[in-house]
Amino acid sequence: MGDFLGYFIACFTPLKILLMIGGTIGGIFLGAAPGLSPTMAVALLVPFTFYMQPTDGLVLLGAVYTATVAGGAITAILINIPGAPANIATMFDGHPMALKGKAEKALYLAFLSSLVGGLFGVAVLILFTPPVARMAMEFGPSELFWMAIFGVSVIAGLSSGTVVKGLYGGAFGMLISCIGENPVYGVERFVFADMLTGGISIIPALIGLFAVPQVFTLVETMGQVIDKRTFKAQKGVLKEAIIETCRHYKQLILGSVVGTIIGAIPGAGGSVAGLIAYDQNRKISKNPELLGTGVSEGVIAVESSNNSMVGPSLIPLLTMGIPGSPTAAVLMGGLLIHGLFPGPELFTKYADVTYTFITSMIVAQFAMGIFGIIISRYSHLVMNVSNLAMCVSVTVLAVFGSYSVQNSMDDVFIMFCLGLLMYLGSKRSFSAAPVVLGLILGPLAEDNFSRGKIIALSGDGLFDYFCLGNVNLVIIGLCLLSIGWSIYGEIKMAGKSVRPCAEA
Amino acid sequence: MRNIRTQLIEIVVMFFVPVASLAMLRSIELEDAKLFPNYICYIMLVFAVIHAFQVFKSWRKDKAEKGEPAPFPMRRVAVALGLMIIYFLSMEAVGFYLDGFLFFLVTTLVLESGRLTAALVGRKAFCAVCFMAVLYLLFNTMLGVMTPSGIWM
Repeated sequence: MGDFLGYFIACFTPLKILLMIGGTIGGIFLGAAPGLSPTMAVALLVPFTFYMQPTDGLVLLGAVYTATVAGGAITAILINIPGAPANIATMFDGHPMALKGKAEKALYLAFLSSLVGGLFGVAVLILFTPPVARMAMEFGPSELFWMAIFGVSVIAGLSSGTVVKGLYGGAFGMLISCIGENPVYGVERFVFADMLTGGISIIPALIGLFAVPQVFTLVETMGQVIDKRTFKAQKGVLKEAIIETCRHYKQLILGSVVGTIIGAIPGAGGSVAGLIAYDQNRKISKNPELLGTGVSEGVIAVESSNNSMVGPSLIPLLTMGIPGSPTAAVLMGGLLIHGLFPGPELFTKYADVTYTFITSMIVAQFAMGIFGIIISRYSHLVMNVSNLAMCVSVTVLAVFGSYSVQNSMDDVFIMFCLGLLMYLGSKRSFSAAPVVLGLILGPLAEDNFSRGKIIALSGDGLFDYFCLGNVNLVIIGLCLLSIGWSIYGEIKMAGKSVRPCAEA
Repeated sequence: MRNIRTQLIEIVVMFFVPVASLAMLRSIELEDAKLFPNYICYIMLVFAVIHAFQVFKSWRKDKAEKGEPAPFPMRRVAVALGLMIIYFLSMEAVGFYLDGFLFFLVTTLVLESGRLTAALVGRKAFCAVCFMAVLYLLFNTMLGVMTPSGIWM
């Protein structure tokens, strides 16, 4: 407890407070800007943290991650476009509230419930990370290999597009992570151009895969007319929203618990959390028939769930190196850039950095709540930024970020080539998240596979070492379950979409 | 018909990537160094086969074309792509900040749908200067990030 207080107090240096406030305000703006995803915002920011102390960099990234998810509610409510996938279910009641002239109240409710949910999620992160990290310390190469495969398979299965394309994307990410020297044997692979000798750096790849496709999508959608709801701030609405949030404490608890459970499952993500919370709220609501017509409880349940997922999504990342969401995968880049490798070592050797980062998330939640309420009064200004200005700014930042990591133009070309490839892939329903996961977890999988093979050949044999043993069997079972579940979901969806046609 | 062609191209690419990778790995003599990427390629081939099977099955089910897709703004995307390539290639020679300013200004003017006026050009130039100045102050002055200096800065 004493240690925890020490780390908490360490968050209150002037620089860290400044970074948290700047990160929160910037994050809300980026979340509220239609067309920019939270993942892309964090990806663009990661290289700049390279020039900061590791703790400061992570504090900034944590604040941006928290704020972008909450900021996405602004567009979901005012223009019926989710700022982030996590805000899809916010539109169901948030936008009808705006149509009724209650946009200001809906925004306040969104930020207040995000604050409560976010605090709940961070509390779970603080309580559960150390025991999970202790458990991870027992893992050997075979378990770590399967954990890496599990991380890719889960996100691949749950990403947008078909399951097979998601899994193919994950495998493709793992394949391009093999470019360059093999870490154990020192042999070069797939080096068909000089710039690939050192392999593909994570940061330029992250920026390219997430930012470039969005830039081209912005170019494509330029000039589209969007129906924007604006409002003038009125007195007493905030007080009303606070009372309403307290009154709907059941929705707050439900959303926070659902978001926390979903967040801790690698790959599930905020969109799933929001939709499940909305669905469960329908079951406990006194007036379920009113949901979808613009009622406060719909916004409260969804927003508390998608923000409570932020903290727990970091549990598998920090303890085992398995990101819980695409944005957590990008945050992993922020750790790697400082030479911090996720796993038990983070809680022993780098405990001060890790715990300061975790406790700073509490302060970031308060900053998000306060600045969210203030900024939502001026949200119409954020939404008026043109697509053209946005795509040019993102391009310049992407180039700057890719170049600045190693001061190399090669990284800029790698970023652009991967991004262009991803843009073409996105046209055929391939998604960036599995590719990034494969790229990040590929070296972990290969390294542990090579080490495990050496151990296996001197003892039990390859099959026994990798495929037997309780932990191995459980993780293999989870991999099969996640892929099987995704395929089942896809078949069910296909059945649903075919039936109406047949009936017609 | 167009949809079938793009699906065929997609299937060919999905097969080509692992096959080409396997061919590249053949030149490596140390077996252990290529074991992991070899397995990945085989897995990718399995997924490509499943995908091809899914696509062929969908052709049999649904042969009719479902409406015309929205027109793709090819000209605008091609112009943006061209400007980006010029921006990347000229960055080291021109310098990061000057090149960034020119890219910002030219792109916003070229892709602008309205009529170009002196006031509009002035406004865009002002935005570009402000954006690059913020970047310079934040990253070059405060964080000491090195950027290509080129002919100026």
